[in-house]
Amino acid sequence: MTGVGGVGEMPAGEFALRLSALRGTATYAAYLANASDLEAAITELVEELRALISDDAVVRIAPRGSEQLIADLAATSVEIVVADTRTFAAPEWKLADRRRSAIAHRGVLVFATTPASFADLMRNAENLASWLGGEVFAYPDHAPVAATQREARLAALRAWASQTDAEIVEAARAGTLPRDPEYAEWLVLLGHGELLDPAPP
Amino acid sequence: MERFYIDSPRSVSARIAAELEIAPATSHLLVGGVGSGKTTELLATQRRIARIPDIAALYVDVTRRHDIAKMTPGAILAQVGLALADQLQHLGPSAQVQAAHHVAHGAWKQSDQDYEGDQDAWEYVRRILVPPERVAADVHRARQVLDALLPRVRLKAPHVVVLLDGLDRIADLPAFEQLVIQDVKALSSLGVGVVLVGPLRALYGLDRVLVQRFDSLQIQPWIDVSRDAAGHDFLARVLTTRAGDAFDAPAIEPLVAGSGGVLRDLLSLAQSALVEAYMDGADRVGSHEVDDAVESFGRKHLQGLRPAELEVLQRVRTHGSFVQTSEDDLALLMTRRVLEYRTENQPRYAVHPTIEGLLQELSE
Repeated sequence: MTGVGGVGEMPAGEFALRLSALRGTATYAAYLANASDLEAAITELVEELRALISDDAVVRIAPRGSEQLIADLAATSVEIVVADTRTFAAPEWKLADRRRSAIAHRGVLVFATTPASFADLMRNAENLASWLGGEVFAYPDHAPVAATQREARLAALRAWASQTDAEIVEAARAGTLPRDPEYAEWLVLLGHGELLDPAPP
Repeated sequence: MERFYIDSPRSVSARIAAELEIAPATSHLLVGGVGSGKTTELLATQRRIARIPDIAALYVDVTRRHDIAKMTPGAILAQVGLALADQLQHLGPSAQVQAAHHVAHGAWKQSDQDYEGDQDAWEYVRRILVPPERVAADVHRARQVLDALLPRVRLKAPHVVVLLDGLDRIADLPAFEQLVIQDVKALSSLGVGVVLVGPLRALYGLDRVLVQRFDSLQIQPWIDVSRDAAGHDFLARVLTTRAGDAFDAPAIEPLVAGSGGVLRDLLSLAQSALVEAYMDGADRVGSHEVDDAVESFGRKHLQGLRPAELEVLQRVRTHGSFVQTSEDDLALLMTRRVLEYRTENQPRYAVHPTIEGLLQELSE
């Protein structure tokens, strides 16, 4: 199954298991997530890695640029490094590519970033890109899951009230919708949160 | 690592080492795509030269101590000076060793000049990175240091060869040319042999004149696995030598084919396939694991492409035609989306095998 950016989708736990299998090698990997999901993706990945290996075998860094990435990597001997590189654009990747010897890491280095930043890497850091091999996966996009859950809840509400979405919206506009919390939830799920507190005529 | 090294059918390191054995002070440009094994060949050259009694070989990665984007003439000489100084460190401190560090990193030193009777005058020895107008002086200064260090090194081996790695990362071809004109020329004038890994783009267009400044050009090509039986066999042996027990026989062929003849990609695919087997709970890698590894690699390899580049790739995939007319086209070669084979007289172009199927899906 493909995820954000067109690469294969993989939950954080499964990706952590893959990375743990690569211990003892010098491996470069990337984990992609939409900007809104990236924090959760990194947190989950780091937690899963720590649970699988140990707390002190994993470190999370958030370098502001390539120079700091080089300095951070030089300062750590931790085996698995998860680098939050969401702010890296073309100039940072270009510099990282030129100075790739300085970011050579004895262990696993994961670039956790957005699809846009990763596209910049692929366009501007040809050597670094070749180090990545095929270890590039995407954090599952939660939007489709949320849509499925929303639809299931709406179906439950329709069955509970024996009414349609249109009837609920019409009643809200007329000010006749009961004040039960289920109706408020219904309106929010339909994207009509503005009808919850209609302005006085 | 040496036990894993397998000679390729047309070993570049064997050719370079043979030429250096005959003429130790010659210069050689080694060019190849990303992941073609240039560094491996450079290190193999070093090992081959080590077997020749009267030649000392020094491997220097010029990007390790210096930003490649700020390479100015003298920067290679300064780093060769540091490498020579490292070699002599065990003999204890010396003025020449100290001078090598001063030239590279800068230092305050007591002046040789007599400033109006001031016996304690100090002057700053600048680090080697300087504005362009100082170039000639810097090259001269760095050359002087080498001139002083080399006799001590030559007490052990009369000939010295330096193996310069990392300059393939330089994007500024005029800057690369200046380094060749100034530093490589200076090393040659000191009787030092040079093997230099250069940028692939030096092979194309107007930049090709650069090549003529070397005594020889060695190209580390991709292996055309569909037409070069010896090359195919070499890649299969690389896998079986490193991890033969881990791969079922039917897994070897698709790995070799999927690599497109790129050594680094072969190793990446093999590693990913091994991880797939681990995740599947399998003891050995079969064709299913290889398929998964090839797909993951291909999906990554398609990232960052613009529509116009995808069109070029579709043309290469369907017609095998590729004319490099722009920087974007050249980038497709540099990033191995398009592979150029030179096994036969005519160059042959193909898309990387891992993206071939995905491109077909996109076209449907």
